[in-house]
Formats: sequence, C-alpha cells, structure tokens
Amino acid sequence: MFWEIKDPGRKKLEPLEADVQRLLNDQNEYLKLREACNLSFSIFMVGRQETTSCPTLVIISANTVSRKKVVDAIRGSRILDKYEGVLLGQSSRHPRHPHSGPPRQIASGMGQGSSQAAEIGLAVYVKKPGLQLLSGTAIYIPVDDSKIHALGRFRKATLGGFLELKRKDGTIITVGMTVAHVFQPVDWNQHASLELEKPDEDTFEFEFDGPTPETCLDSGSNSPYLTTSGKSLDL
Amino acid sequence: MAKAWIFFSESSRNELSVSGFQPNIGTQFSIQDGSELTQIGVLMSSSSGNLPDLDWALIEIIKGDLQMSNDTLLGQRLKNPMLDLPPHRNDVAVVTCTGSKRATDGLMSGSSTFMKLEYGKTFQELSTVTLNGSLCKSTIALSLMVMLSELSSRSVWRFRILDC
Repeated sequence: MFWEIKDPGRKKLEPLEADVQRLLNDQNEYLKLREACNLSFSIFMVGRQETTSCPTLVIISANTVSRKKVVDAIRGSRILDKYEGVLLGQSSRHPRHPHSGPPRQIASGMGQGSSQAAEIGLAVYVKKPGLQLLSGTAIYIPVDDSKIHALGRFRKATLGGFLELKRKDGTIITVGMTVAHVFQPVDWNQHASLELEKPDEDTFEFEFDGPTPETCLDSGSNSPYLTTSGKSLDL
Repeated sequence: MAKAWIFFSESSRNELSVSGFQPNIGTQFSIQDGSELTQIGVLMSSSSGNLPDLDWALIEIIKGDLQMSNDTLLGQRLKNPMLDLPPHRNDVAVVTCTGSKRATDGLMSGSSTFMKLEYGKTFQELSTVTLNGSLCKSTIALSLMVMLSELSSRSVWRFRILDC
C-alpha cells in the first residue's frame, strides 16, 4: 500500500530528493545512452499497513531494465546512507496515477528531431478582438503560407497571460505568453512513425530493493525520517 | 482547502488517438477564414525546438488599441489567476483553463515527482495535477504534469498531458 508522505517528514526528505536529482543529472550521459525512456522518482510511505509503512524512494518507469539501472546507480552512490530508515523501491507505474500509461508528448513540433527553430516575427492572430484581450484568449498561428484573406490552415493555442518587459532603451512592451511548439514546423513523417513507449508490464508492479518495512521496523529503527502518512493511494 | 488558480497555454491538439501519434489534421489544426482574423502580435522569442524540456514563447503585442488583462473568463465571471501559490506543500485545489475546455477543477499534489521524459536530458521537479474530467474528446481520465518554469516567475507553468 502507498500513502502520501506528510510533513514534517516530507520537508525533511527534500534534501534527499535534491541529492538524487543531482546524482541522476550528473550521470546524464550514462542515463541518456541507456535510459532512452521516461523515468521518474518520488517519495511515498509504503507498507502493508499505514502504521508500519516506511518512507520509500520509488523509481518509476514502465521499462524494467531502465529503472533497475537507476536503482543500482542510487544504491551504488550510497546516498541513502545519510537517510536512515528510508527505503528504495521500483515500480512500473506512478503510484499516484496507477492507471495512467507512460507520460508522452502530445505537442506536435516537440521531441527528438524537432530541432528547427521557430520563425521569429511570425504573425499571431485572434478572432475579431474586442477592446480587451483576456488571459485564455484563443490565438491562431498560420501554417504554411496561408493567405490571410482566404481559407487557410492555422494552429490554435491559448494566451496564458501578459507581461510587461522593459527594453534596454527603456521602452516598455507588452508580451503575451504561450507555448513554443505551436510555432515550430511539424514533421508529419516523424509523427506518423513515432511509436509510443511500450511498457514491459500491463499491470502495476512494485518491489523493494534491499530492506523492506518489516526488516526496517524489526530492527528497531529510530529514524528521524519515520513520519506519519497522509492520503492513501488507491491502486 | 486553499484554492489557487492556475492557467496555462495548451496547443490545439484536442483530440488524440490512444493507439498512437497519428496526426489528425482535422482536429489538430483549424481552418479559418483569414478575413475574420486580426493580427495582434508577432512571435518575439521562444524556447528552442531542440530543448524539449522547455516550451515557452513570448508574443509581442503590436496592435495598439487593445486593453490587456490577466483576468480570464470562467463561466460568466472574470477571475484573476495571478495569485501566489500558498507556500506550504499540502494538496491544493486548482482550476485550469485551456483552449479545449475552458475551466476544469482538480487537485495539485503537495508532493513532487522528479521526471526525465523520453527525450529530456535532465530530471525536473514536477507537481502533478489531476483534473476532474478530461480535456480531450473521447477520453476518460487525464492527468497533467506541471513544471515550475526555469523562468523566474512562479506564475509561469509548463504542462504536459500524461494520459489521454
């Protein structure tokens, strides 16, 4: 069973998250070469019962081999030695979203191979604006060389608010915020051939690497990281 | 429970095939009569396409007679989303506003997840937002990943849809 970890334990374990993030990012080349898939980690309280659960760093990936390599990298780094009572485990899916498939991009123009830069100066349109532009207004970006006074193909996005920026010469301009991929060329061949990451398992799988809550609690651990758990996660 | 408003930009890919990434021109793109459109600005700057961890763009507003507001229309009411998130890390009820579905409420977890996407180079800290309902047509459930932007403001977010 998984439970969300609550403060004060959650706060105490923020340094562990930072340590692991730093380790994995520093081993970027290692990971980039061998873990070309989605990988994530998070900390949960894990155990058979809420009262006997332990804080556990969970490595999450649908790819069994990749998550095992990350587990081995963390175990080999001895990072967890600084955090007595914190266990290490791996799961095939995110315990908070056990019914979700692997995360994936939905945006055209993102991902591997989409290295073409957006065209600065590309026009942005709205439908018959009133006097006021609001956050959330739909915007239209022409695809191809659409003739603006005829039927043309546009990508649609949303304005996510406005900022005022000061130029070096002191003038102030207003900019609207949105996503970059809507401006980037779409490689239809790439997207047509892009395959989703295939999970190794269709079901939620989890296992500890090394000590379990039973062995940890039986040893009489007085870990300062043992903490109360929060909301139960429904797997 | 504290309530915060979170707004973000969403691309027009509002209908997805669960079985793959087959582009659907009919839903991903909009056929518009250009005479009904008015130019308001130009792309001023954006993250590079070869950095999939970043996805932001700034549009310089060049049309001069517009009033701009960070308020947004939710139902019949205007709301201001530019509220600071509470400093504590408890779960927070949120409302999202997107192009395909104007307003959807959900829950942002107080616990972080650190993720490296398939084409990403580094692990980034994310907060998960689970929405009540779906953004896309023909979908049952949907979760969003939220990443605090590397831009300096906590008001700028980046979202990726995890599951459609």
